[in-house]
Amino acid sequence: MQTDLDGLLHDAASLRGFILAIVQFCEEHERSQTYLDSTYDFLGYVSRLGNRTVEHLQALIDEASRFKRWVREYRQKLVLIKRCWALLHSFVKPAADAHTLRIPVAFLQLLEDEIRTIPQFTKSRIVPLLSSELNYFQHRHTRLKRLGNELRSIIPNAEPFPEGLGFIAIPYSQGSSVFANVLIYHEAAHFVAEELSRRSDLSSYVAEELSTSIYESLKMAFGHSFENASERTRSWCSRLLARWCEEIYCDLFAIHLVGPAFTFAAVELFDLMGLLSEEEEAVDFSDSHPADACRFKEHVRILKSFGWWPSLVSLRTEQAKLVAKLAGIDEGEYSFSSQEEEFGSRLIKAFLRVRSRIRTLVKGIVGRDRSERKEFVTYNSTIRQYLNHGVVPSTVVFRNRLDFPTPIAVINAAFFFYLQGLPGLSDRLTTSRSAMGIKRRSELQAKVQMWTMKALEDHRLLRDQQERV
Amino acid sequence: MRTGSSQDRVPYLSIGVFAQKIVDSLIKFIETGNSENLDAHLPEALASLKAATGEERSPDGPRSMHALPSYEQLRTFNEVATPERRKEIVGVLENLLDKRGSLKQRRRSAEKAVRFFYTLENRALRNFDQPTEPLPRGIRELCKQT
Repeated sequence: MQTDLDGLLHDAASLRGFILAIVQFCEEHERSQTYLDSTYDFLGYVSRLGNRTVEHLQALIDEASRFKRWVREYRQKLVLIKRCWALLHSFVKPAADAHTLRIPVAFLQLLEDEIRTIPQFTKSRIVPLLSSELNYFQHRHTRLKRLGNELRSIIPNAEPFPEGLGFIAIPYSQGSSVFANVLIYHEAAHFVAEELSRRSDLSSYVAEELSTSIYESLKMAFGHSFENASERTRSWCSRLLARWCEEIYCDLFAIHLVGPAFTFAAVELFDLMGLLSEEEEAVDFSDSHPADACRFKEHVRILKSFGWWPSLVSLRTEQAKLVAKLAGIDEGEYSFSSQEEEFGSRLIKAFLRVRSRIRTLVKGIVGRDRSERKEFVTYNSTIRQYLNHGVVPSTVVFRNRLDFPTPIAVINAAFFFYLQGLPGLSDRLTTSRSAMGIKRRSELQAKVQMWTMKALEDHRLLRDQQERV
Repeated sequence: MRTGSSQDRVPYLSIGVFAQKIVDSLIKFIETGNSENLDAHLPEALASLKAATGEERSPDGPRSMHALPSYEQLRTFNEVATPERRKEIVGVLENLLDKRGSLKQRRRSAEKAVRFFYTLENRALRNFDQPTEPLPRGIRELCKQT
C-alpha cells in the first residue's frame, strides 16, 4: 500500500515533469526563434524559475522524509506551486508564439518608444502575446509580477520578476496589420494605469485618482441610500464606475498618442465583430465597458479639441459617418440593460458626471497632444502620393528637399488613404474587370499596410543612424 | 480590454503563497526550534490578520502588501474563521512573536497556527479554482429606498 510519503513523492515527480516541460519549451523557442528583448527576458525568467522550483522540490521531499507528520502540509504546497505554474503556463505559449515573424515589430517598438517618453516609464517593455481571441487584451502584469516575487518566499533562490514588463495579447491573425494594431495603444494605457498605481493590491491609478469623484457622483445619483448601503454594495458600484472610467481613459490616452487612427481602428474591429450593427447595442453599457456611443462621443470631443475633426469629416467615409452618428446619440438614450432600468440609469448618470476628471487625468499623464496633427497636415498629400505609387513613405521629397515624416503622421495618412478605398492606387493597378474583385482589393489593402510598416521600420533605422552620428 | 481569465484570480494564489510561507516557518520552528524565519514573517501575518479582523491597520497604510485587505483576502479570511477564531489566532501569533511561555508551549501554539494557515491556504486554492462574486444582496434596494 502506498504510504503518505510515497504519495507526496508521486505528486512531486509529476510536478517536476510538468515544470521541466515548460522549461524545455521556453529553451527550445529561445534557440529556434527571434524575439523582442522583452520576450527573451520573460522566457529566460520562466526557465530559471523552473530550474529553481525543481531544485526545491527535491529539498521538499528530503525535508518531508525527516518530518513525516507534515506530509499533508507539504502536499498542499505542491498543489499551490502547481497552480502558480499553471498560471505561468498560460503566458508561456502565447509569448513563445509571438516571435518576430508573427508580430508587428516596428509598430511595437514605436509604441514602446512612445511610452518611454512618459516619466517613470523609461524602462518599460511590452511582451506581446499571440492570442486566439479576435481582440486585444492587456494582461494584469502586476498580479503576475507580484506572484512571481512572492514565490521567492516559498522557493529559495528564485529570482525577482523582471522589472517593467507588460503583457499585451494580439490576435494571431493581425500580426502583419498596422491599422488594427493601433488598438494596442488602448491596451498600453491599461499597462500605464497599472504601473502608476501606488497600491500593491492590484488597483489601477485611474480608480485611485477618481475614487473620490466616483464616490461623490454615486452619492448624488442615489442620494442618502448610497451612504446607508452596505460597504459591499458601495464597493460594487464604485468598482463598476472605475472600470468604465478606465476604458474611457484608455481610449483618450490612445488618441493623445496616435490620433484618429485609434478611433478608426476601433470602428474597424468593432464593426468586424458586428458590435455596431444595432443602435440598441451601441448605447448599452456592459459590466466592463461603457456603451460604444458614449466612447465615440468622447473620441469626437477630443478629436475636435485637437483640431482633427475637420480632416475626419472631409473623409466622407462610412467609418467617419458612423463615428459622427454614434457620437451624436443623446446621452439620455444610454442604457445598462443587464441591470434594472432605474438602477442602471442612475449608475450611468453618476458615470457621466466623472468624465471631465478622466480627461484631466489623461492630460496629466501624457502631458500634451502628441497625435501630430500639424505634421499630418504638412505631409498628408505627399504620403498619399507615395502610397498611390507604391513607394514607402519613410523619406519623402517635400518642397525640393528630403524630409522624414514622423511615424504617427504616416500611420494617420495611410489610414485615411486606406479608408477612402485607396484612391488612385486602385485605378492604377486594377482593370475594369478586376476593380470589383475582393481579392485584388484585399491584396492592395495588405500592400498599403506593408508599405506603412516598412516606413515605420525605416524611420527607426534612420533615427538610430542619426543618433550614432 | 481587460481579461476575465484565471489571471483575475491570482490574488487567491497570493493568499495561498502568503499562508504557505507562514506554514513553512512554523514547521521549521516546531521541528528544529529555529525561529529565524518565524520572526521575519510573523509581523506581516499579524498585521494581515488584524486588518482582516478590522482590529487595526499597519502603519504602512495602504501601501503595505497585506495591511489593507483586498476583497479576495477578506473573503477567504471570512470563509475560514469567525472573527473570534481569528482573534484567537492573533493571540497565538502574538505569543509566538513575543516568545511567551516555554518552548513546549510555544511549539503547541505553533501547531495550532499551522492548522489555521493550512486551512486558509486550502480555502484560497479552492477560491482560485472556483471563483464567484455574486451581486451584493442590497444592491437593488438602492433604488427602492429613495
